[in-house]
Amino acid sequence: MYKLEYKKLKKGNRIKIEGELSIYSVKSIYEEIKISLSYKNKLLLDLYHITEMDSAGLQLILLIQREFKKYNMPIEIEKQSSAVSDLFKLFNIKLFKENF
Amino acid sequence: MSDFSGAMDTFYAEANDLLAVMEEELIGYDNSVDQKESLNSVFRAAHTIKGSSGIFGLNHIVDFTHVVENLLDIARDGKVNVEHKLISLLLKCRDHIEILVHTEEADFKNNDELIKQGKSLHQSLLTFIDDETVTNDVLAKQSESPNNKQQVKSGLWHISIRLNQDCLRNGMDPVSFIRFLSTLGHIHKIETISENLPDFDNYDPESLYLVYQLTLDAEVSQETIEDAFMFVEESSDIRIVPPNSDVSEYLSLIKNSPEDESMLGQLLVSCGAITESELFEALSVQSDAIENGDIDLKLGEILTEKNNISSNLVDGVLNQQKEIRKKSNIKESNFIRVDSERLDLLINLIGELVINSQRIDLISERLKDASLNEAVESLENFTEEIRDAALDLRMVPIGATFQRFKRVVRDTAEALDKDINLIIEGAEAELDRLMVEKLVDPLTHIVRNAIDHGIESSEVRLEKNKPAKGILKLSAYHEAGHIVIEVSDDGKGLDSDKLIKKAIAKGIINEKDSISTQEVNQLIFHPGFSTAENVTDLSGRGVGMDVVKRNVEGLQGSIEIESKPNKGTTFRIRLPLTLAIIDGFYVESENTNFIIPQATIVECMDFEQHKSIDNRHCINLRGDMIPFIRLKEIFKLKNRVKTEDEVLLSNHREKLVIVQFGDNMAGILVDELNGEIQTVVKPMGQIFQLLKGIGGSTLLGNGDIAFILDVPQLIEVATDRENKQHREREKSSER
Repeated sequence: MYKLEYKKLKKGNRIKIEGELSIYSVKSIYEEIKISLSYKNKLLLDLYHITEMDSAGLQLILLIQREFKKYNMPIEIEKQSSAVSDLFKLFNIKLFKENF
Repeated sequence: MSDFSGAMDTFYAEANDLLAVMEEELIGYDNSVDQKESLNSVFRAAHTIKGSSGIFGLNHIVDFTHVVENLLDIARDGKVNVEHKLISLLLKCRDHIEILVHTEEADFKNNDELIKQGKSLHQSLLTFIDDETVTNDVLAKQSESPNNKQQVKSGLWHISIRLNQDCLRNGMDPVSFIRFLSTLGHIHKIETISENLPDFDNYDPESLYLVYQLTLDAEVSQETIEDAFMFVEESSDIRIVPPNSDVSEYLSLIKNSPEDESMLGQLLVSCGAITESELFEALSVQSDAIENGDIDLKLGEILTEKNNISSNLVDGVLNQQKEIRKKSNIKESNFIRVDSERLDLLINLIGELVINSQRIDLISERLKDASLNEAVESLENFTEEIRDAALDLRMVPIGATFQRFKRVVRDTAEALDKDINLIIEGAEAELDRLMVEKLVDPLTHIVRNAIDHGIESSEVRLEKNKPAKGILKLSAYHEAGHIVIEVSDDGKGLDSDKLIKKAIAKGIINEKDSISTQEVNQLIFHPGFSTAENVTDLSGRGVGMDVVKRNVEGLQGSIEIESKPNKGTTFRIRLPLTLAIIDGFYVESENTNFIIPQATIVECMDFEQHKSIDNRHCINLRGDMIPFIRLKEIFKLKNRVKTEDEVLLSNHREKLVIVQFGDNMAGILVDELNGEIQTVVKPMGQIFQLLKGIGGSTLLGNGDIAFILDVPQLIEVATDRENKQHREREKSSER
């Protein structure tokens, strides 16, 4: 129960995830992202419409973040829902500090 | 502490194993090729017995074994001359330990003889040592007792959580542990270590790679914290360092972490557990027990060494370990991982093989060659066996699916603030892998519904004299070619008055309709039906019970409900074991071929002898009223031209096939019974999705197409029609 949108914008590529980013959906989300992900542009994450996130989801975000770091490409969380920020806070994830 | 009996059994079993090892090694010592290793084994056995006994608080065993262990330790170092006499004495000590293991501590205290015996054995052991300081070492009491877990300590606890990779898949989320820990106190600091994440391409999104290090500011006992991790898999590594522990404890934690040492070190420094200089010193010391290759440590040894897992855990861990060891001894090397697509390809090919062997069968029948017939027959037998074996490959136990529901239940119960105990039964029942996947969604919905609407809150339950903890049971069992999956709760049951009112309001039924309990319960499967006054975020997901029903029917299954007010509700899903190839019964009606799944057939009979009752679509079968349907009516088949033979003999009679699904029976009227046939199920295309009564098609040996009847749907049609007619008759008689 999720929706994924991948858009190419001028300021970078945007991934918008809606609904559940959890163990139930993470596999298909990962597969979808895997196909479209490009490290040539900046990545914007729109996590505002995520209703549920668990460790599996969190882990995927961390993975993407790390991959972009590897390619020295900026990544930014544009918006996040409380489901996302709660989890970040709980786990003390400081990777996107500027967005808190 | 919780119930010990199970853990104690395991302890006895392990102790007996170890005592056997001791005996074997001691007896064989003189002739042993590697005497040092023999001595090591004996030492490890004694050490483990002592450790496990300590965990269970069996001090009489600990006290005696401790001295034996110390002597063995010294002997390992070559400080004691291991001669024949010592071996004999050690054997006696071993026997004494055996007696102690089987003696209750309370009995031991009253058994002077046993105590005396132990003391004299200790004395004899000491005679083998000349050095006095060593003697003192041997007699030295254990400095730390492993039994101080219940003591409440306040301050900063350090907890390192490294869970099994599969834990997410099994419905365990570290989030829940950390949330729980935060209820015990204040999470002072938490570090999520993500450096184990593999490359993007090698990433398995359902595996857990994250490791957590946290410090918890709380006033609790170690046991309370350990309890939080009671259900984690055994290969998980949870380490708890109590407040104000010795620096060495923290350092060993750092050294035993496969991750970047400095990060954990910095964390510990930042919360004041160790100082910077201590950290630096620790990191520069290059020695590690693991590197020394002491891999063959026995379980109990590791436990006592880590000294941080309470007896509650030992039970489960020991048991699991044993079971796994047992299983792996037999099976491990025999497993092979195969891509499921290759398996599907095999099944498809076998399907073709089955069809072809039927074609050969037809041809050989026509040729009437005896030896050919014989060969074809044995070919058919083997084909059948190959088919069964291949289908078996796709069967998986349903247990893994059930395990996922631990998480669903936990989460749902937590969100709704309900206390629920999940019981899983029949996890070993097997069914087709494809079915398992398609079952998850409907089951999840039923489970969530049961928790949300079925099981009451603790307060309400107590008022009703029920235990505060609700019970949700998932069970599976086989029944006549089908698998039955039940989800039952002990909640409030379905409220039939409410259901009827709602159904009338929605115009699903008429106010005047009289309607059976089973029918009332079936109402919840009606599209757009929801009796929940408040749609919660859990049940208002747009997936209604109608979708559940459709999903189950899509798998050729059926779903029924049994509900008793205040006793609970049971959802019973019946599914065929596989969808790929079935044993079918080949019938004809008006020259159209049909297959009835063999598993559903009860009997076949001549229709004429069972005249229908008063023009109703119903017959009397040995006193039971059974509704029937005529295939040519249901599917509006055109009358065929009768063959000459039939016209001449004019004895064409309709035959009745009695089928059963669950508790329902119905008759199907056909023209011809053509016998058993192996049927390779080909699904019907998208456009036929709405077609009722037909579940698929197949190719016959002669190349003709046959339709596979969907018996559950047909039975439903038959009973529905009978019920409707019944109501109409009642209405007209009222007038």
